[in-house]
Formats: sequence, structure tokens, C-alpha cells
Amino acid sequence: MTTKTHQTEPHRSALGRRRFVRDALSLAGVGATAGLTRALPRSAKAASADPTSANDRKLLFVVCAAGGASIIDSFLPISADEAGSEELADTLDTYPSDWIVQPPDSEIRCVRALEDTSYYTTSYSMADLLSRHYRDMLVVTHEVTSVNHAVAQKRAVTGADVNGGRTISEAVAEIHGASLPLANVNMAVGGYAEPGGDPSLPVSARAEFIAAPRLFALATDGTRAISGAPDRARMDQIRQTRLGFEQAGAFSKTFRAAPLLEGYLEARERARGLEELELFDELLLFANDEIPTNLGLSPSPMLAELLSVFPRLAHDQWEQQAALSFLLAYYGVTVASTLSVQAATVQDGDDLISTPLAFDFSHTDHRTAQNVMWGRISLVLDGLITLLKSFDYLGDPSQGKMWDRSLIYVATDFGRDKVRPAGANRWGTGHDLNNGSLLISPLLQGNRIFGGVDPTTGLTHGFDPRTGQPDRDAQQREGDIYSVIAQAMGVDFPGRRDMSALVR
Amino acid sequence: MTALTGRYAAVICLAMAAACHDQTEADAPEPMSESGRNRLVWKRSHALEADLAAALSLPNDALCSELGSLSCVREVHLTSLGGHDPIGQGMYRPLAAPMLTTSLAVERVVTSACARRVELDATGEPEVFDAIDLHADAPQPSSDAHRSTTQTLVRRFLGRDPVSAEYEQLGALVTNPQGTPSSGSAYALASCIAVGTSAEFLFF
Repeated sequence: MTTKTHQTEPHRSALGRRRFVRDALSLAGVGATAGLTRALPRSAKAASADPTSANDRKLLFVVCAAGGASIIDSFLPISADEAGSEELADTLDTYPSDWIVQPPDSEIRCVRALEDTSYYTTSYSMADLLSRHYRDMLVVTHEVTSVNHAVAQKRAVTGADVNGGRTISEAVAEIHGASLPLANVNMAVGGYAEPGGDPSLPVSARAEFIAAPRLFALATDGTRAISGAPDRARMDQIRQTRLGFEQAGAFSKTFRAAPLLEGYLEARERARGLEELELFDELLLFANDEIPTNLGLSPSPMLAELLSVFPRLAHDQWEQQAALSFLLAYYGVTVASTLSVQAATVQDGDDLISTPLAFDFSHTDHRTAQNVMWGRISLVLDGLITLLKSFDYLGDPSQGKMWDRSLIYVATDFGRDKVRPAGANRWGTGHDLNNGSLLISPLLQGNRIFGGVDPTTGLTHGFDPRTGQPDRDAQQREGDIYSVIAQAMGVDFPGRRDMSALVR
Repeated sequence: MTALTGRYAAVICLAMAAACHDQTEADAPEPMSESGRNRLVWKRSHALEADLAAALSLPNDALCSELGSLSCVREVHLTSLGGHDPIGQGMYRPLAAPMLTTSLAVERVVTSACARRVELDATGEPEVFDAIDLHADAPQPSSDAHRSTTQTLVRRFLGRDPVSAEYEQLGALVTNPQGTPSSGSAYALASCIAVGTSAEFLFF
């Protein structure tokens, strides 16, 4: 056989990449001298996808706390001594005051990692996240409109259809990622993984679903690392021939207007753009000793940095999701990533570090589920923020740190029951509309709690969205949270609510 | 021949493809009218795997693996290929339509399977590429070997006979991109990928 594999021709790859970046810079009107092009880091290739808007581009990370993450069990806890009476404190979901931590200068407090979490292990403490990032953290109270998991999850990301059914990720992808190959990726489950309901959404803003993030690199090239595959030039010839072959037959004529075929052929063309970016090695979340040596592959050059914040990257899909979402943003491929904890229990050595059904294990053991799972959420938040604060966008110092343009929305389904059997430390809770959300971003008024909680009922109340002042008679809804994010991300739409008090 | 009888003839020919390919080939395709319904079905992961295995006479497990051990269809590209795994991946419904990466996943799977088939045919008794010498140069586009190879692939993948223009299109693969003659095995591989990754194989 005379065919050569793609990886045997590194010069071709490098030349293609440089040409791609140079052309893109030229398109952008940037002085693409040879010297400038050489000086650009490898990651700058991604700027090619949409170079004209890279300066203003925003990055959204929707971190889904699936199953019902309760705000009063995390970043808006009630101390038992605030309930007014010991009897009331014993029957409400309150915590002893010494279980609650609040860093100096922080307006926000949280529940520390609990010592007794049954068979499960809290892998990370909310307190660590808070102490490191409280300046950028906001607690926003609200009451949602469904206690059905799938319905509530979808409403958490569509703002209960406040924007014509578009998810917030779709809306951000349309504005900030119009010409990016993978502007919007979704690694979540259930209602968080559902596409929005707006049929007018541009194809480029639709989410690419990624079920196996560690392996996603393998889906970014049609032949790379396939034994015996043709080289790139031959594959291009085959694709061109295939097109002619398809057009010659009756099938494409008969079904020319079939939406399924039209969509596929359009996506197939766009996939060439993804392949051109040569993300295969950049996104490969495997260590050297896990990759067969005969395939000519190497791990992501960012692997060491990723492992420093996501130590279970090899076997924990939650950390893999976060790592991939960072890489896709860093390389300028994606502007909106949605990730979520999984229903499956996760083992780390002898430890169970995730409860079954994620936060919904609260039906069985509320306090354990909330503490273990909020710890798990916090680990990924801290890791993600640490990376975003460490790296320049596109690897280009002139773009500034990635964090400066990022917003993390911790979405959840709904809250949980606020009451417990008298004095119980282990009990089960049902679903409750009343809750709140955590948002983290330098684009927002950080270190603030918008709204509040009544320590005698455990119920949260709202605030005036223009002044930010607490209002015990107000309740924010899904559409308000959506509007906060949209406003911070520069996404406008008819009916967007004015949430100026929360936005910088 | 009326349109109706033409359709019946086509059905009969599909059932007896080997016996009547000359008749089908001779028939110029009638002017095709566009479908009014445009209802196509995506051939999803398991069906794709089964059809690909049948087309190339390979066991399912021999079609494609990533990083040496992971099944392309059942693990790595399951979602892109239209499958879903509610237990392992928490995905309760398959995707409604192909995604951006679907075509790349299809290419990976088909390329791997075609390469395997070519390799087996080159080293043993050929099962698919029996009309050409895989160790020699590719056949000429006008040759019987090219026609037979094209016919075999189109029948195996698409369940019909090729039309004249399709023979011509695939004839381009007897040379490589630089314009020099391709080897028999490279031609076989390229033809197999072109037909196996065509939209007609992925939808029905």
C-alpha cells in the first residue's frame, strides 16, 4: 500500500497551521508579517476562526448542579442561632454556627466540609472555593417554576423561555461565536442537555453534544491516528470525489430538499473547518503512557496544568468535562460550555466521591448529598477559575486573562425542603421551588448576596433588580437569572429584564 | 417504460442484482423528481455498524477501534453516530439530527473498516476487492476492473447498481492528488471510503 498516514507528515501540518493563522490575520487586517506569525503561540490558530471579534468575545461556562442544589446548604446557610428559638432551629435546615465559615471581607459565607457524610467522601470544601474567589462570587436568590427535574433543568438554562426558547448558551454563542467551529458545546445531562426551542437559531450557535469529553479529540479529525488511513491530500481528493459521486446519483436529487440531508451536508462542510484547526493533540486528555506509541500522538500540551487542578482527570468525567471546556475556550474554538455532574456514583480509590443521582440523593440523605456534591461542584469551579485566571485568551497577552471575559453560572433544578425532623442530622428532602443560584464572574458585582433568606422559614426572598436592595415581597424567577447573564455577556433580546444592579 | 414499471424493475433488479446489472446499467436514469415528503431516516450507530460490517464482510469488532482498544461505534463516537448511553453517560435520548462531528466520526469508522478490508484482501483470499490486483497499479477508469470494483462497492454499501456518472466520478481515484498513478490498494481504499461515507449510506 502506498498511502501515508497523516502523522507521518508533520511539516505539512505545521505549514498548514501557519498558513491558516497568517490568512486569518490577514483577513482581520492585522499586520501579518512573517515575524509576527512566527511569534504567535500555537493556540492563536483559533483566532483565525473569528479574529475580528476576539477582543470583545465573552466566555460562558454553565456548570449544572443536577438534581437540586440547595442554596441554604451551600453559600446562603442559616446558622442555628439565627432561627430565633432552639425548637425552630431543630426543625429547619440550619447548621451549627461553627459549621459555617466566612472569610474576612467576604459578604458570603458557606457550609464547611462536614465530618460525617455517611459512605461518601467530600473531595473538596466549599470553604476553599469561597476563600479564593469570593470577590467574584454572587449569590442570587430566586424561586423557580417547576419541581420536575427535566422541566426545571431546561428552564434553568432557557430562563423559562424568556428569550424565545433559546438557552443562554445558544444566545451567547450566537453573539460571541458566530463564526467559530464549535461555539457551543454541551456535556450535560437531562434537561440541561436539551436544545433550546427557537427554530430560528443559527446553526453555528447550536450545541455540539459531547458525551465522552476525554475522547473528544478523536472526533475532530476524519482520519488522524486511524491505521492505514490516507494522508490529508488524498483524503481531500476522496472527499471531492465523494461529492461528485453523490451528485451523480439519484439519491441526492430525490432528497435535495430533505432537511436532515441538508443539515448533514452543511455540517459536513463546517467540519472541515474544525479539522483544519488541528485540535487533535491539543485536546487529547491522555498521558503519554496511555497512548499507543504507533499512532504518532501526544498528550495535550496543557495536560500538566490541567492535572494540577483536576487530579482525577484520568477517571472522573466531571473533571474531564471541566478540562475540555477550558481547552476549547483557550484555543478559541468555543464560547459557551455546559457541563454537569452525572447521576452515576464516582469512585476514587476506596472513596465514593459522588452520591448516586447527584444532588437528588437528597431524597435519601439531604445533608450528605448537598455537602458532598457542592464540594464536587466547588472543586471544578476552583480549578476552572484558577486556569482562567492563569492563562491569556488565545495564549495572547494582548487579549488579557481569560477570566476577565468569563462568567460561570451554577445552574440547578430547584431547591429542597427547608424543614427536617427535630434535631435530625440525616433525613431526606423533597423538591422545593424556593432556592437561589451562584454566579461567579468579574463581569458582575461580586462579593454580594442579592436577595436574602428568612431564618425562621428557610425561604429565600428577592431584591430590587435595579438597586440590588433586598425586597421581602419580591421573588426573582428563571428569566431574571437568564437576564443577569445575558446583560453581563452583552446579549440583548426583547424582554430582557434590567438587572443593572448585578452587572459591572 | 412507465415510471411505475420502472420502479418495479428497479426493485426486481435490486433483488437479483447480480443477474440483471447489465440491464440496470444500460438504463439511463429517468429524470428524477424531488421527494415531496423528504422523509429520511438517519442510520444510527448500531445500524451503521451492522451495515458496514455486512458491506465489507467484517465482524463488528474488526471495524474500528480508537487508541488501540476503544470501540469507535459503541464507545468513542457513539453519540456523534446517533446512539446514546443512558447508564454510562446519563444521556436519555439520542440526538435528533447529526452534529458537526458526525461526518468526521463516520469517516473514521469507515476509513478504518475499509483499510482493514483492503489489508485482508491484499494478504489473503479477497472477498471484496477481487477484481483488481491490490499489489499492482490501480486499474484504468475505462477498465472492467474499475467497473467491477465500483459495482461491487455500490452494491455492497448502497444495495443498487451504479449509474454511468458514478463510474466516472470514482474513476478519478485511480490517480493520486499529484496526478501520478495510484496503487491498487490505495485506489481500493479510496473508493471504499468515498462510497462508504456517502450520504446515501448514512440515510435511508
